[in-house]
Amino acid sequence: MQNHDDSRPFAPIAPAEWDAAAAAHLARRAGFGARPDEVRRLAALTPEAAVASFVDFPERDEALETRIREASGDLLELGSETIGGSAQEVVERVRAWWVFRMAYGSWPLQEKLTLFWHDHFACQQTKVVRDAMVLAQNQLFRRLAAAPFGELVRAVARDGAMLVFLDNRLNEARNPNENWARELLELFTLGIDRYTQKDVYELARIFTGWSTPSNREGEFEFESKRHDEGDKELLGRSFPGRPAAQGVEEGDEALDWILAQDACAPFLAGKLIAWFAEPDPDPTAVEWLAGELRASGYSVRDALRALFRTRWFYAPERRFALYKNPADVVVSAARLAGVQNLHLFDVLPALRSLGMELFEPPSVAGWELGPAWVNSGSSIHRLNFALHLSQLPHTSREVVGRAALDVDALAADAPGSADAPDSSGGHARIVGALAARLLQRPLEPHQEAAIVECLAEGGAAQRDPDPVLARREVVRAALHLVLSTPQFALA
Amino acid sequence: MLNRRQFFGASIAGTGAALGTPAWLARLGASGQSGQDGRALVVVQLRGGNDGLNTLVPFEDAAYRRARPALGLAPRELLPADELNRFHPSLERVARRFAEGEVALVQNVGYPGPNLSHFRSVDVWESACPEGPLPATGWIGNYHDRYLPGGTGPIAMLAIGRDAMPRSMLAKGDVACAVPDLESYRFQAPGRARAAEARARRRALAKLNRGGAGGALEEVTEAVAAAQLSIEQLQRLESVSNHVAYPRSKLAGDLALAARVLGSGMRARFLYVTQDGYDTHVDQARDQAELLRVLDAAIDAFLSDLAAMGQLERTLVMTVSEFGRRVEESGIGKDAGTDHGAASVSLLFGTALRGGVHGGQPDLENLDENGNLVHRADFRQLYATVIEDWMGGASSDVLGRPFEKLEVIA
Repeated sequence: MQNHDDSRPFAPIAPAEWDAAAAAHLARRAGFGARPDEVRRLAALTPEAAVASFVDFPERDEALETRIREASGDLLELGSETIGGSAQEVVERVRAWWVFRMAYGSWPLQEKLTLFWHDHFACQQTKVVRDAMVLAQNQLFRRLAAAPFGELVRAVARDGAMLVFLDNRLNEARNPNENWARELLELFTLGIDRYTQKDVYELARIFTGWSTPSNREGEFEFESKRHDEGDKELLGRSFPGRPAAQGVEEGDEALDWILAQDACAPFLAGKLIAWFAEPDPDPTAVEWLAGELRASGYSVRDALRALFRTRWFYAPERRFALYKNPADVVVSAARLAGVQNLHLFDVLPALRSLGMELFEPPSVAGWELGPAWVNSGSSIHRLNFALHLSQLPHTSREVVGRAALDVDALAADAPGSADAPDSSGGHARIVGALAARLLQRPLEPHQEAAIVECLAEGGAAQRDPDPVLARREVVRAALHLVLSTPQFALA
Repeated sequence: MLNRRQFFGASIAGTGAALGTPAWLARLGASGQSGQDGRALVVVQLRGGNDGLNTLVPFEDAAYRRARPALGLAPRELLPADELNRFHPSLERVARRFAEGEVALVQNVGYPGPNLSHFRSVDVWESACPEGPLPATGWIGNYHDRYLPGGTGPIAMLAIGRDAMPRSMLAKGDVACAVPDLESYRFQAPGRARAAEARARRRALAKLNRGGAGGALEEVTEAVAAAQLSIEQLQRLESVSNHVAYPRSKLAGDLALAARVLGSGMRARFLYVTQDGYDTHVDQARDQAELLRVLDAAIDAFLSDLAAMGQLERTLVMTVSEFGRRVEESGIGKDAGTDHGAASVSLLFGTALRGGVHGGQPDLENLDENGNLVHRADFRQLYATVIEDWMGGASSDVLGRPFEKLEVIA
């Protein structure tokens, strides 16, 4: 029974409608999922406070930095003088460091947005090569994750990795290189067919001289000698020629002009909705969110706060409608199953096999989202990842130096399951507990029956004379199977 | 006719894939098969936009020299093709096969209103749809839906060496298969598990992903079902080996697997492999030389392997690229490269070709408003030729309307 005001389709969700299911939905979208205790905590807040607990992340997560320091030796410590190894080895360690942040940070939305921007402003480290620049760009996306979009675009235009990747450091007056200008218009701000080939050329001329010196790599340097001082015309506006020394101002003005175009807000809104709300963005929602962006000076924080508060966001047709990207699959499995030291588990090969090589999107257009994540090949890898996760060593304490999980705790909330662990009633309770924790919705009856049947057939390990060990193997098998359901692939 | 789920269920219970002679097999006669298994097309995608001008070089064209002071290749470096054109020096083996009549090149292939965006232009080539909204199916998927058995039959379309399905193979339902590599391509069970336990796990995985729920869940279960089907098909490859040694490159590895697929009796009709790296905005001299060297060696091994397996006569190999490169180079000296272009060259390899250079010379004097080569053959003409003269079928059914064929298949 909904008190739905049709004249305000994007009205905030009412406190009366805010329950555990809604809280879990928010955590799946704004974060990487919440454990039962976390869901309870979120559900007890007002919707506004719950949303704020994701959206109002600080620039720096001190608790996480401490945890990274304490995992020292295994994990990349930023600021340490010697990060040994080749560029590829360093990039691999940065990947592991990033996955650690996604799994164990208190502000998962910041990491999700860092990933969103990495996908949006896609650069490939195989071309950038300089590992310091790859890391610096990642830190830029983290720092400006929820900042006003204009601020982020201005920073990206100066970013070393981007200047290398899209060849703008080679863009000079006597030989303009259009790569950055084209992708800026097509992929980063306005979208296909919202500009002309002439606009690309003129924008390339505006950005001549924006470079990064080879002796101070990653730093932005404007090389006035290579700048085109002539008159330009971009998107219907004249940029009369000015002395080269004002070239940076000219570029920033061009960026402001691009963001002022009608097409910009809906373009960004569409991408945010496809990433956080639904795979095929509803044009009404895009228009609404574009309005929020314009009204807030393109503040991504404010726009997401507004989006996560709407009743629209929590509508039944939107629950479990997003296809998890590989980072989501891997990190949500780890968070919900309570895996420790995820970075020491073969998580990077798993991400690669699922189709997401961090710092190496398939093209400057980023990854293809939505059902494209789900194909026959990635299905095999997703189910095999579930198996390997379920086979991690058990521990009931905090451990360092290896990945592990508390298998027993996973089904501890299954009431009475200790009484008759090898009965189908006991097995069904274990399966129910895992489904509640990992899927946050019930299994279909035929699915529950299939898992219980498999557990009954059991392997040698499940017939271990020690009942604790036997039960542990049952839970492992159930964990593998629950994580292999189609439900787990959706958020 | 069994639907995919029924087939899936039957195979999980261990009754195997022997279904007798299904009705669809009889229809293969309509698809222009030669030999027992029907003809195959192997598409080699050169991703990034391959510079056709430096692949098959109009070496005496003064406009070429003017436009490319740094990137222009000297005639004496080049390998013979015909009177007006010579091959890039990396294409040694291609040049040799060309001399034997086994290679046809089609110049000036593109489409009207060329789009200079990589992913948009790849979409155009793969959907065969330069204008309007992107259809949900690709040209190969369209052929499959019209002419090849759906659901119950063997996997007819296979993309090798990549995780994501190429758009060209999108069809109604998830019937194509993307195989990154063979070893990892199976559902695993716990290491210590004995055979019975592993089978029980796999049975459970199948039941969990049974399908019928609709919506996004259906997308997921269909993908798992397609995976199961393809795993069973690919198990046949265990008994098929390559007959030649392949060079060490990703492309060669993917083609080696493609050869085993063709030699296995799997009845795969369309294979797709991709070679990345052709987006040579800078360092083109060095990068394109290496890419073409890899391409040359890999394709040569592939063709020799097919010949040794007796599969060459029924196989056609075709290169595609989303666009060529701009005529005028950008940058200076060894850094020089080229921006995105339009028309480029496609290469075809096989035993039933009219070997030689087709499609006329590139016209470097009359470029389009972006300084790019104007196409003369629409790539859909290339597809129409392959559909009608090689695979069998009416191209207008697949491409939406008729396109004039090219005279490249004998």
